[in-house]
Amino acid sequence: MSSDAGKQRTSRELLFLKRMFSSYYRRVKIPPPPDFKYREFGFMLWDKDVMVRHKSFSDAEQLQNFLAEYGPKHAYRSVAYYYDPEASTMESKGWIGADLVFDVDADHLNTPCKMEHDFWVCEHCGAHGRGGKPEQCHKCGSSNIKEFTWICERCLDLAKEEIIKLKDFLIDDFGISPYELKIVYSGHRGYHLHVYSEVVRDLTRDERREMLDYIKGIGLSVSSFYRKSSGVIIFEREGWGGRILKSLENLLRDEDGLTALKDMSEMDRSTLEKLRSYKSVILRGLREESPKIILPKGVGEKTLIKLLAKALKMFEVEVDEPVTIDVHRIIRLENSLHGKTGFRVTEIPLNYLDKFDAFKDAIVFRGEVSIKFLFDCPPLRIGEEVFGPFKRGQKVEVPMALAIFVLARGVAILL
Amino acid sequence: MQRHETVKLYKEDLAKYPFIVQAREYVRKLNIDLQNLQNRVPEAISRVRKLIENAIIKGECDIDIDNVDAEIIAYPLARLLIEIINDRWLKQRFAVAFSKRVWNLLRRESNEKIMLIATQPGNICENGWNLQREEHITDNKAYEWKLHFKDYIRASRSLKAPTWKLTNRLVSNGYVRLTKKELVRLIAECVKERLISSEVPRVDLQEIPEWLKELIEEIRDLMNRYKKEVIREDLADMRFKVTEEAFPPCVIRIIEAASRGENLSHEERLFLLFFMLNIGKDVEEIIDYYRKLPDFNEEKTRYYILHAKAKGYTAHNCDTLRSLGICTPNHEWCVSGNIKNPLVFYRRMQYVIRRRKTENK
Ligand SMILES: [Zn+2]
Ligand SMILES: [Zn+2]
Repeated sequence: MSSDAGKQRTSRELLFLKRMFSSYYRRVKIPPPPDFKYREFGFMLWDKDVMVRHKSFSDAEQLQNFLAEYGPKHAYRSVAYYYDPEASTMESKGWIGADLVFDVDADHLNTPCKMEHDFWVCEHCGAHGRGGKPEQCHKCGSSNIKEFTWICERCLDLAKEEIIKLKDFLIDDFGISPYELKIVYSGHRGYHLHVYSEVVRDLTRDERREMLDYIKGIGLSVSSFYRKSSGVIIFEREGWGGRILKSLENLLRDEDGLTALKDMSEMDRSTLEKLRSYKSVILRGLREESPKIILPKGVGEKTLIKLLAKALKMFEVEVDEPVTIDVHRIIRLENSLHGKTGFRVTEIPLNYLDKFDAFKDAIVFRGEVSIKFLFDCPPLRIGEEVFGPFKRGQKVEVPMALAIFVLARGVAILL
Repeated sequence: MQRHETVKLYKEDLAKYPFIVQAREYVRKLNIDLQNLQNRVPEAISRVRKLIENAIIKGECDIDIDNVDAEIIAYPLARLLIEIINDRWLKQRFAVAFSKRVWNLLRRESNEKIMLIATQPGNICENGWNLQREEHITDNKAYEWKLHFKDYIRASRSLKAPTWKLTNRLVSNGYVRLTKKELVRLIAECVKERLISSEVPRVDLQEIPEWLKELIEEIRDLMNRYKKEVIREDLADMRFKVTEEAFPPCVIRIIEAASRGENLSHEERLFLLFFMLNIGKDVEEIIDYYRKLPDFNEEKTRYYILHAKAKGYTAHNCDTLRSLGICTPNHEWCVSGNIKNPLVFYRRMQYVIRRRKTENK
């Protein structure tokens, strides 16, 4: 795990970060989450690595004052509602219900760019490298290795794609109203999606898992969605059935799709050729009222099913399971600041999701400050401008938001 | 709710579905209690005896609407008796048998009546289902109903077959499409779950009338005799005790569930059967594994085993088990992916164990 408190980062930086965070909370009104009086709050402060939990607030001003006074490194609040949110054990809190939440995080996505922007440093000998940290330092063998992760547009875009798929599942399949959905940028490498609806509030852990299985396509058997009748495969258009048809359409529509088809299935050339020459017939069948798949001679049902099972991967959503099934979870407080980035945990209106740009919309600090880099660092965009890459030892005046980002990660110090 | 006003429930309906609110209300209005029952509706006593006897012996519940009042009263009375006897096997067996009766009757009912029973609060669940009629007739199936996903998830909880998994359903706009047959099955499931889990108000055993004490003893005797002579839980327990070390984890899980008297799914029953036949167990031995199931019927079980044996089925592949939700990959061999069939696991494990034993000598 990455830890923020680098050896080289002194109390001077921590104090600075705390002051900056406090100044934000003094300046900006933080609207508390819905029904906040029934929620538990939790905070990480700058001076010690322990979570202050079981807090509750009876009015918005109280919360605001707390934030302004402590300028906490991380601020969380429960997804659950309790009769007594301050009680110190889960049993005595009196669980009333919980919103349904989802967490999509680039940390769990397999993004190739991590090799370019994540890096590690051996705390023992100073050796360093790119990508995720190794088990042991290849130079000295120490396992005391610190990992530095970065935020990048590609990672966030991939996470956004996942959240869009998730949103479609919730609205189209589960019938959740768009007004009951809230999408929040986590302030780091991902997005949260909250469902505020009476319908989901009393769902148990297992029931939430069943929904999640649906969204992740777990246990999916393609054969549930079709029936074979005299050589023709007749499909259903609802639920995963529609996604199955869509994935087949995507694969057959153009050459890119056909290439992908060849890559992902161990399909021989002749089968592929048969599909290619037959594709207009298949595509026509797919668009019929009762969608049909008519296969060319020599291509079996089994080949098709295998292929579809693989093609469907693109509809499955990568969601972090523990977050969704844990009905006592605490999750980042909307509009608070993320202690690893200084970025704002930002609520995103649904119709703005496409345009949302974390490097612009989650930036809250203005001004400049001079810092010194302790490590080589990848570039970072703030607003419209890209800064960096930076060299170890480099002294430079940078935008405040960038300074807070690198100070919070422990890769730079104040000058 | 308005839409119910078009359906009229007759006394016969209450006898068929004595778990619904109107049936409870009807019994309440009769002003019958344990003290006056013997004088007012004596037929209810012989009726409840028959009902429970059948459940014990056949694993089935019959229905008798010649005397409607007796039939309606027999239901709460049966629940009371079972609660007093307080035997897990009996409770499960009655629940499974009664839910089969509900399934059998309900599938012949009009859609209006099914709608009423399913949506009215307190019948099959506290709030009643969020259920709609909507025809969706495709080349595949004739769907006539839509059930809200939340009610669906709750009702299908104990159904482990992949066709019941939400992922494999037609879900849109918050609703899950169901055929009439599926809907009725889910209602029966709910009735069963409620019979197993919900409590019947306790009565003071000192206060109960003599006829009831006798009836309780009679049923307890029958149950014990039946368990001892036919169910032969002792045979099952003996069988479970010698669970072989070499069994793969999926088989062990099913055997453990069977030994706890859980209601195995159809697929689990078949897989266990094929597996045991394939490793050369004999028919009588295999029957023992099923003895504790809540709807165990020796004749039927023997028939299935002999049938499978004659057909020479092989045990499911790991792939199939995975898609059936039966795979339990908690051994490194399973995770490695090198094992394609549980029989391979079994034979390889036997070999390893044998070698370990000779080495130790
Ligand atoms: Zn080292
Ligand atoms: Zn990236």
